[in-house]
Amino acid sequence: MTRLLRAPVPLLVPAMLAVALLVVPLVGLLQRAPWSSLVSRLVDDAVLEATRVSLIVSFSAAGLCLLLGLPLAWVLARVDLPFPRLVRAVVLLPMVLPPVVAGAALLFALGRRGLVGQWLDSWFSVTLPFTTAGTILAATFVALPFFVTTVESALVAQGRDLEEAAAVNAAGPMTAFATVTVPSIRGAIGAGLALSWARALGEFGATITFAGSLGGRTRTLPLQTFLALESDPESAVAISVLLLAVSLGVLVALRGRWLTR
Amino acid sequence: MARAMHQGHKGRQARKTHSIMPLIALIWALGACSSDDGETLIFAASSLAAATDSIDAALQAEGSASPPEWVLAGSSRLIAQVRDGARPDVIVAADTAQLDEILGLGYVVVDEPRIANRLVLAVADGNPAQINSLDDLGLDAPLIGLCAPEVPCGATALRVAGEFGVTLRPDTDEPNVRALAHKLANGELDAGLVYATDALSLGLQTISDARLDGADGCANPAVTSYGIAALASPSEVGEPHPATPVDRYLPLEPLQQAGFELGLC
Amino acid sequence: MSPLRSPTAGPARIEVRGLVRRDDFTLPLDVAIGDERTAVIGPNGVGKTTLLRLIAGLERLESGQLTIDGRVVDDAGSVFTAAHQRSVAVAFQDHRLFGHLRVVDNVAYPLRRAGLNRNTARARAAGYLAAVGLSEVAMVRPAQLSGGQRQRASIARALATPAQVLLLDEPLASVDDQSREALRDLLISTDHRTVVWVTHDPNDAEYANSTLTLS
Repeated sequence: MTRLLRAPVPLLVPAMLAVALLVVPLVGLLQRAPWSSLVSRLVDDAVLEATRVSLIVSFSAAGLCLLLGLPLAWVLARVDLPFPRLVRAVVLLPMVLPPVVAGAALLFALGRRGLVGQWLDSWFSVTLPFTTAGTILAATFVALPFFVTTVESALVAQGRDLEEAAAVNAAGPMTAFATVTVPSIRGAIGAGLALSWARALGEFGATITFAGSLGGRTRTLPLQTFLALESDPESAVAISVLLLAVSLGVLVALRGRWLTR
Repeated sequence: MARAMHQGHKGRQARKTHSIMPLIALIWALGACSSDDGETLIFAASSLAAATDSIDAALQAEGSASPPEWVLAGSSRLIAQVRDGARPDVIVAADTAQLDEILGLGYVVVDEPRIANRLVLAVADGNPAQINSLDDLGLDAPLIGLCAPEVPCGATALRVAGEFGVTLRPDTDEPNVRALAHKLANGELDAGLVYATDALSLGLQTISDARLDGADGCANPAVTSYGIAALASPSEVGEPHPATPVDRYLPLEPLQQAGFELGLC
Repeated sequence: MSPLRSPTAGPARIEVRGLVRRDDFTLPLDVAIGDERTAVIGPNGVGKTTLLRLIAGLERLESGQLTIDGRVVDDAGSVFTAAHQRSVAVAFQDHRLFGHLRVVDNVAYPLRRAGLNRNTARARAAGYLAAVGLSEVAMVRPAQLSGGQRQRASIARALATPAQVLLLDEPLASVDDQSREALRDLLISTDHRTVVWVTHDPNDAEYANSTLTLS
């Protein structure tokens, strides 16, 4: 406490304002929550269904981020790419792109009449829009940069020293990656997973544009919230409280486990 | 539509009013001032989007100084905004029941003429899934889209299905009719039930089904009737059916051209 | 003790002739190492560490070629044998221990790569740790070691690496004076065929069969 009070006022005041900016809307949400009927609103079939879809989608998206993003982060950090700034900008783009635009872009690329999607449709009869797979894809698209930047900056900060040490200890590149690189940045990997998972859980715009909204298949909790706002605002607030609790719980748990080191 | 989206700096919208009555007089005063400067604020259901440009043009032709400002959104959202303090001059909502909720806030409902919209069976260009009638909306193979039951066009679709004993197997319940219509227009969906106005404005191919197109007026479950409410002038308060000339805000001819039906019910 | 060696063979001959690019200039090298124990001395910045990195395969020649036992491992062009295929062990000046592994598993790491199972590798690693006087910290993580202890752990790992050539970059710089003699004896008596030892300490150089001065 004493240390906090010694912080210089020009830093302390904006810091407090920042905290207020982050916390006040949450308090606003919580004070509107229908606490007495919260549980009954949440065990509603539609909400349970959306919770199931959301959990499947967010964890699958985080898994895809790990599977695709870890190699990508390594390549960005270690390989001399042509036009490195451009490549990095492209990787970061989904972070700043309005999610609805991201959804439209996915539709133009992977939709049934899309650039790639028309071939998926006619050759393999694979249609991604309006499927759970499409929802996972949309969530992965927006979440991937969060994972990649977190892991890439850890790799850059760590440098090549340990990978060199592994190499002179007769570890080939893949062995060095698996036995030295990955374990030594596992904190950053955990943080990247937590961030990308949270982003995937909250994803709305790209999902509704690309994957549509059908209960039990593509309707995630944020979509359910949006629909509930039309007909039953109290239920929407209840779902938001649930989303808040779930994300807070997972972030705290992941931080405790992965990020303290 | 861009200009419709970023109003709100006029101070009339989004003013939180927890105890509303004392403020109404003030808002009326402000409203009176702002109608003098010729800027009309219209809240309208998204399905009215097809008609806004031609209404603007018609009003201009009649000598209106500046076109109205449009705010287009789902009807329930618009009503909620009014409940939270927004004070548009006119509200056109696709859900007449919800309009009653704001009568206490200084609005009067305009009874005549009614405007209505009708659901049509729209298909992707070229009808790739060979949809022939409403009954095909129960097939598994084609990609079917509807509006979510929470919004008026979805509720209407459910009413249609119930009335005619049609099974619906949607692959998506879109949050509003525009999103649905666009997914039909770009071929991502094979078929869906959208408003005639959206089908017309996006040039969607439609399949005629006697059950949708045959019956007339409000007897047809496919018809959604719009409610229109206007901010009352002080002299009109208390009068249940004032003679507010809706035509001043919503000229009828452009509405008709855009596919709306008039004088229903 | 190291498994991959034939004790009958003499020292591995290392020849480096060519240019290597440094950040701001190009360094010419013309070096032949043919003795069992070679000390490399010279002022700072002359390229001693770079020479070791070239031999280890951590850097490439700009031009020229590098041979080990007559085999070209780097011709500044299409031929380049990667570090993990060169049979070269390195003790880095900055230790480079793996922070996520216990000290004993750091030393066991090269043995595991040579195909030993976990228990055998650990048992053998424990022997090297005993030799450098770190038995009591075998089960802790490198972060808990002092600078001198880390250097000794790094030496133990290099000694444990089954390789023809052992490269040491200032291996005794941060160990205390009491243990220096014993460690030096240990390094001299390793059965790696060739040891190349970068040092500032004239005492170290005395123990070498030959001294290579870079200038």
